[in-house]
Amino acid sequence: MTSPLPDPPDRGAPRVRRAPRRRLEDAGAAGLPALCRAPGTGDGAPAGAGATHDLLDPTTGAVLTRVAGTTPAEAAAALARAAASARGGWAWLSGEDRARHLYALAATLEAAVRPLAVTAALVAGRPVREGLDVDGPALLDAAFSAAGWADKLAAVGVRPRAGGVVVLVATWRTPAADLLAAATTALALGCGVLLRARPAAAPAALHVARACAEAGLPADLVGVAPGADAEADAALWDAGDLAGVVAGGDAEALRELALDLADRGTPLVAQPDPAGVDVVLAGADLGAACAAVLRAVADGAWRRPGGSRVLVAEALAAEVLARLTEGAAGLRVGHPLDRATDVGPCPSPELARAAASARTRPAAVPADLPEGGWWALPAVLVTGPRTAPPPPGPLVGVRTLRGEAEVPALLAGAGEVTVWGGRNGPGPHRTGDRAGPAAGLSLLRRLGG
Amino acid sequence: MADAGSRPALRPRPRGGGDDVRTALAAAARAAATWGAQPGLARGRALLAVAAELESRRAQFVDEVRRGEGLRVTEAVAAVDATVDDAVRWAGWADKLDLLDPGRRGAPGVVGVLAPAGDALRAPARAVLPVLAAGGAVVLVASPDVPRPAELLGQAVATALPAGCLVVLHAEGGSAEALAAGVTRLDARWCGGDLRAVRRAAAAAGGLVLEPPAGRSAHDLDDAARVGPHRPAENPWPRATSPA
Repeated sequence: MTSPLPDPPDRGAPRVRRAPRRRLEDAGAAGLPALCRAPGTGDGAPAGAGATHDLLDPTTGAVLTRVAGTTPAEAAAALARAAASARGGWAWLSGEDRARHLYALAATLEAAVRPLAVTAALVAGRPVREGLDVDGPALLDAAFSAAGWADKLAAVGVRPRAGGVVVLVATWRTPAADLLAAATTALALGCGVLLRARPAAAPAALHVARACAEAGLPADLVGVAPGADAEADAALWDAGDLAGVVAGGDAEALRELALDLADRGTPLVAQPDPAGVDVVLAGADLGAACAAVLRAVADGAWRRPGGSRVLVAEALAAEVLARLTEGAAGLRVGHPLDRATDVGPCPSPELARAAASARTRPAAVPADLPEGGWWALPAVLVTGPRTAPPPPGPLVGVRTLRGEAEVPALLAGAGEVTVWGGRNGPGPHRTGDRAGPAAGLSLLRRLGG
Repeated sequence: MADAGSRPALRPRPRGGGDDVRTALAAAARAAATWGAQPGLARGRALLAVAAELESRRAQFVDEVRRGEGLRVTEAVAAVDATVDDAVRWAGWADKLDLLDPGRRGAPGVVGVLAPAGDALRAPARAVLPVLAAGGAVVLVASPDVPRPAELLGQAVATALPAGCLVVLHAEGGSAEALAAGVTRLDARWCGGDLRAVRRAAAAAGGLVLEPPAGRSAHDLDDAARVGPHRPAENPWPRATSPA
């Protein structure tokens, strides 16, 4: 299935010339096959009756690889295999033994950092430098930290859910660290894991499953069921061995999933797409605050799939706006496999279109970037009471506060909030952070018995 | 240049005299500054490497525990395996201590530990690992009769942690009192016996002696109870043990 290509976002604007592109990271490190399919399904033969999805290259719009979707029967069988593996070779292990296996997994994942970073660059346009320098260490930390829960369940009052299967719904915007944290936590509880990877997440999910096998975890304990078929989803939600679901996405999709799971009372850990908001008040370190906002702009929809906003005190607004505008202009848009790139293409043509239409003035895409890519240039947009926040992407909307009393109402729906300055000191003061041991314990308790 | 032949012989390990205790405390203080500044995950990874080192020398530990304590091989194996499990366990706590001990304000600095006469490996390990996980350093007075397992433990720790994080002293006359006078926390929960002189020394220096739990073994303490009392206090005097 092919997604329509976006309209050229910068129609009418000249393409600017700049220094030649540097050498690109080897795309072969991703190990993308011509057809991504779940292990154990239809090797050497047409893959079941599931739909086949084309994965497009965000830098060109051309077909990068294809993903064989899982049929309802295949999905149910994969879940049953994970449950059987959990019961037969995992759940009866002591917490200490599970911890050792999971630490071995955390160590094995070091070899998966580069393939995952290159995969994210190819599939979702995530700059490879960020994948290697930020996402890689984050995923290793997440796996190590979650592994440590396996022998501490009693200490934190959590009962193991031995023998069940936790389904993790992964999308292109599921960071590898979140995926590994959830998978390792489920394994720490004695469960098996099934990665229900939407097509764009399938290559990364296959890397994770391969790392689990290489770490010596029992065969089929961590399975993959790629695809977006609603009937296959339903087959999973109806499975008797289903112990829990971890899913991200927009609020409406998560509400529907909660309804699907409500009859059976299956625990759902919903991780709504975070909209990131930075609140800059008097006393803030403007240098640090603007640098953090610019990092969020560069990370774009990858890190903040709900969009990015800044609420700034009136007295600081002009300076913050000037700094952000200058900083955004200095961000280098480029090929995601180029280590010098700050901002890669958007992960989907729809996001590129939305980002282009949110700009008030056309901007020129650098001439050395491949045509047909889903490029969007970084921008700082001024918003107000009558303008909507900008869409997800390398954009940030800046809104001036008349007073601090306005802040609570403007934070409605925000996922991650960072306050700079104000009565609690320069900060940053963060809420809604998904990383760290407190978030890990929360996940453990929601999945555990 | 002095004649090499006139130099005093190098001693393979600190013996436990007053000078040795002071030297050990200074080394531990330096190590604590470095170690305590490490992020929790880095400390956890280092402790996991210690666990791997313990496991790689399992046969040696089993042999020393058997020789020292006269245990059956199955008992010695169980003691060594439990110690490895403890090391793995505290490796996992290192980044989660704020959840285990919510009142924690920072690394505990240098903690003194008195090892019991028996149980020459597991008890010292159970006393030492929570401190190391929290970013502190330990000066351990080993069992007077069976010091070898504790020494091996020190060697294993030194393979992955900064030098001085675990200094093992021999129990000599007055070493426990000298140590009590030099630290704000002396963990004596794992050893019985007469602690009056130790308590006096600690009280005189404004330190605190952690006493054996009443009516039960220190092995029965949960993880929070093991690490909580090492929390640095703003003023240790009000909680200092009075001399009997």
